[in-house]
Amino acid sequence: MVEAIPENAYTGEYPLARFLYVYMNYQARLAARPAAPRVHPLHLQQAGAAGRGEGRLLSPSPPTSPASTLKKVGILHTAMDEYRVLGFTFLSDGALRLYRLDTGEALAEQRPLGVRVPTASSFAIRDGDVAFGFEDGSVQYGKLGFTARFLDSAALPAGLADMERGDIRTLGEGVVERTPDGQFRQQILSLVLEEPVVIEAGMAIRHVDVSMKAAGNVVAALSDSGALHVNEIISRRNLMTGKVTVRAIGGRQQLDPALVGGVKWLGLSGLGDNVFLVLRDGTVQRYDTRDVRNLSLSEAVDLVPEAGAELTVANFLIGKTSLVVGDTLGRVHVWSRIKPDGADTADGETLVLMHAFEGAGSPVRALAASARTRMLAAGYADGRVDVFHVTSGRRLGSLQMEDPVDAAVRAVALGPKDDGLLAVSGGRLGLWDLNIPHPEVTFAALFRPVWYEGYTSPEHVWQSSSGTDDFESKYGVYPLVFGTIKATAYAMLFGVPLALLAAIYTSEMMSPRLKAQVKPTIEMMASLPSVVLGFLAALVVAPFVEGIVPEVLACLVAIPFVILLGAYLWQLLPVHVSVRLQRYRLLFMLASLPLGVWLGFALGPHVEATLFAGDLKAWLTGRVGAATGGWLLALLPLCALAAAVFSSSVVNPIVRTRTRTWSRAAVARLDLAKFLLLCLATLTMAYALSGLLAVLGDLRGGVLSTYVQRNALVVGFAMGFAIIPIIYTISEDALSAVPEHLRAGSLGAGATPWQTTFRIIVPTAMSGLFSALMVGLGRAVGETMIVLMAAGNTPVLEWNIFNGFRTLSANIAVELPEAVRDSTHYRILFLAALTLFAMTFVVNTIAELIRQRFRKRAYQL
Amino acid sequence: MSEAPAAETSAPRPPRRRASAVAGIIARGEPLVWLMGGAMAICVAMIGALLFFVAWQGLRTFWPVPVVRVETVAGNAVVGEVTRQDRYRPESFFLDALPAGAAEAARAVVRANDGWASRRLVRTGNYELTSEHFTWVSDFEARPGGETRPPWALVLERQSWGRFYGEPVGFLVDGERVADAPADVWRLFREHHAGVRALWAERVRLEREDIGRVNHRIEKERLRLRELELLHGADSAAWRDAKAAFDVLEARGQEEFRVLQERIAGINRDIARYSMALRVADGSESSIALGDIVRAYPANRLTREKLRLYAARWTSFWRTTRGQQRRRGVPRHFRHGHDDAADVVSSSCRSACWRRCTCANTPRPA
Repeated sequence: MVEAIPENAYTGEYPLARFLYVYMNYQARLAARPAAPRVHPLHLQQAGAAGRGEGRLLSPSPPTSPASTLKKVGILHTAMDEYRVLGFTFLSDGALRLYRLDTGEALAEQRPLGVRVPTASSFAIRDGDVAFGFEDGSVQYGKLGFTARFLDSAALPAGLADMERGDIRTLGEGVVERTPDGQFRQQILSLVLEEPVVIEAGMAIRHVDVSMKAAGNVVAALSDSGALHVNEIISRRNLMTGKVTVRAIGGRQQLDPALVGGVKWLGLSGLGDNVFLVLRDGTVQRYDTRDVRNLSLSEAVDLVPEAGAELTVANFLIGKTSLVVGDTLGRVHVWSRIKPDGADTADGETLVLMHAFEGAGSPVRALAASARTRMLAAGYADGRVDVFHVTSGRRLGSLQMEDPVDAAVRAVALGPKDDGLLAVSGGRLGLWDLNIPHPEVTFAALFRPVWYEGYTSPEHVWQSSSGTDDFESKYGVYPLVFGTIKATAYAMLFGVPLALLAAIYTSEMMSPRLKAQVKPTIEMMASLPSVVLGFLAALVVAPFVEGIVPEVLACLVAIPFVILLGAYLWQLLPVHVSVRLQRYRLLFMLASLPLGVWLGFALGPHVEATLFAGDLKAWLTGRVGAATGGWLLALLPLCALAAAVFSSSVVNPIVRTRTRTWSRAAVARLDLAKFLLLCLATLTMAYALSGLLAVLGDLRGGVLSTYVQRNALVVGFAMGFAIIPIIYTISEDALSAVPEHLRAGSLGAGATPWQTTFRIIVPTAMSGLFSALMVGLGRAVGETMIVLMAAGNTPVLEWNIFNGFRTLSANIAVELPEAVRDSTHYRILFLAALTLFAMTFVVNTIAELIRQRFRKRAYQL
Repeated sequence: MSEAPAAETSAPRPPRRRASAVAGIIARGEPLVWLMGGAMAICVAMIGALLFFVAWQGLRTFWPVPVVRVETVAGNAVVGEVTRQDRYRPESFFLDALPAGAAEAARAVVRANDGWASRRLVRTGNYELTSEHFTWVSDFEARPGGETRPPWALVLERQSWGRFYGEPVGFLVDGERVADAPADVWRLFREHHAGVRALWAERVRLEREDIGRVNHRIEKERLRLRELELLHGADSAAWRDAKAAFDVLEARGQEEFRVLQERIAGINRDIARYSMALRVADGSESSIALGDIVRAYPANRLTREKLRLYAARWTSFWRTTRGQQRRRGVPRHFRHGHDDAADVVSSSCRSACWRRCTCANTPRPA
């Protein structure tokens, strides 16, 4: 047995406990002690002894370019490989320095660009896409990345044969590691450059960015002349000669040449549809580049409006849609492009501040985005490096660069697997192990609205996976909880009245002989597997109902009406006839059902024509017709209830006193007239009220909205098959268990069966009836296959009865087979199960308390 | 007699002491009793309707339905069984694809129905000719008056490729057309079909059981030989003796194979002698070997035979199910004598068959 203690949870030996642990301790504001990024400096040493001796901070060898003295050489980019054995820094003088990360030994200095010095550069967050701009106005892009290959152990280069497992040796310009499996894995850095493309001849490129798209690469560049160029690069290989011709198609936008010096950073969005120009004064200019031949300024936003704060560094998050900026106060702000209603920008989109991380006062010097998640590392001037998770708004941890010379962080990089952090200060290279399980999870991220990229406001969203790696996982559990509640609510609304009334009838009004036949028939419903019900609901009921929605709605009113009408007509029968026909009464009730259905189908088209503008589905979209119909639909049951209460509490006492001497037939006729009048009154009142309410608002967009084939109505009906037999049979048992002497006493004292039932039997059996309801509720909450097949499985937050939903249970069934074991997604599915359990637990506890109260009352009888 | 004085004595009592009619009616609570009864009726109807639906769908599956021939406005014809009807909203490009005059009429029809149209799903079979088993035919696609029930339309249930629908136009024996008139063809078919199927069953028996038996015997001996080889080595006396015995047995087995193969080849030749020519929907003729036909019936001439056919289909359904339960464990395609599957399975699957099957009749894939 593995104990559910934090240690076991942390080592992963107890997945659920581990999850719980993570889940409980990872709240954003908690200082998560043991689970915080296990930050420990591995190697905090100067890069190379020779370098130290000569007073050179980073390079053991003299810089190739004489112009670049130490102070002037900036670090353009730094990165590490996925095994954390090799790292590099790309310097602004065009030199690339490679380090062994286990010892800090500098391996070699390469000049992949030859003697040329790039005037601009861009390094993609993942996939190693790089672009360089040069003095002559050309741009060259390519791939810079680590490649691993396995050496043939039979033909090893000299000096490697004695390597133990886990050993790391230098080999040429790379590193060889003996893996735990005994293989020899060589890790090297390679740069492959495409043919240069001339953007603007003779004008130095000051800033460049490139986005790789399937259709062709897009390059954005800012030249010395102040022209912003956005080009689609199309390369074609000649089939005959094999020669590659590269062509650039695009447009330019002339900016103020004085502006060029003030541009801090240029970024091209991942889809190539926007260019961001971040200026040194803290403003960003966003250009619409959807049409590369026709660039236009969309908006200019001040990213750092506070006085006393200045922008220091800007970068993209993965996916290249969100902009991260750091300022002199140490704050890290994430800005993202949204499309709100009524934005006053040229393209209707605008940049908003989505997530803000407060700083400690020391300016931000470097930013690095994770290549796989919304994680972000920020390096500060005082040597601190913080790791954030943007979506969940968490500061995951903080670590300190120890450097006696110059601790200010000049560059940071996160490992490709988010398991390491590389930081470069004035004179040192630091590597930390990062162990951050589930950074995206906080209580708030799961259960509160979260502002996701592309959304106009914080929202509850469940979307666990998508087609691209840039995808921001959205683990809002609330839509699933909502879906569960919605499914249960509609199922109970349909099933409970039917089951309870049927149970009371069976128990109290039926002859034992008939009861012995009817009860097993209804119980047979429970024998149907829910997958069969789901299948029938999705493939038979849903398409069928789709074609007859107005008729179905009319039936909901017509069937009770016809049944009640039958009752009042029955009262018209003379006593001797009705007594004789008593045993066939059930047949008449059964016959009223098809009559009701017929009436519903007859009324359906008229209802659609008068209330729903002749086309219910178009009306539901809210484009045609008045709101009155929707209100009428909702108010009709309420008004009917009001009429019933009015009838029994006001009309009946009056009738009782006034008609004391009337004959039975006359009273029955009066009763029928009363019923019809009340029906008319109900209709009139509902219509008048709905006309009134239609002025105030519209139900469309709420409870009634666009029709989807697989919807809550169909699920409610199909779930009826699942819950009716359970509620029915338990209620019936509870009613039958009421002691016979109570029944006999009541009937003997002159009460009618109806009075006995509702004054004596039902109150006595109330605890049993309530249990039945709760068991039915439990079945509805946990039901999986029906909702999985018939509910459409879209996690939307709408009460709309004509729309689908996704329940917790269906979500687990759908996604668990696909979830990566032990991933955040996998564990959140377990959390979903736990939430489901918690829901039923709470409901059942409350139910039990209520049931015990009823029971106490029943015992007092 | 005794009632009269009682009535007299009760007459002076004040009438209000008697329970009034209105109190009685209200106390009976008839409306709510009916609501309860109605709820029960709905529950019973729900389960009843569901069971009826399932039973109906299941029971009607094997019921023979008439074969219709629908001529379309585009000049084609569809022959088959109508299996389903529904309403849908045709896309405009679908209407545009119709011939000019017909498209106009169809648009008018669709417009008159608020954009809706009805269509029928026709089971057309003839998969090897048309690459589909079912075809949707919209009502506006059908040529007015172009719907008939061909009196001699035959439905063939076959070993492979599914059903075949067509009108008989010839009966062929050894490639020679011996009859042309549908009635004669049908008579000849009924004369010969049972015999051909008996031959076919005999062939299946030979392939499945006799060849399998020989094969099994040889395989058992081969394994015994191998066992000896592992125990004593390939040079031991015991192995050499066993090897000699095995060679004899194998030679005998090969001889038995040869005899069986010859018999099978003979049966195949006999089966191949008989075939039937049918005219399909587009007017072309297609010839179907009698050995491939499991069952055939003139769908539009059935009267009382319908019931017999229905029963026969259920019988063969049960037989197949039970047979499959007996041979459970081996996928159908890998079993001996998989005649019905051999034509439809892919070549890779067939090579898998060849590797898995130990029987000799499985053709080695090219």
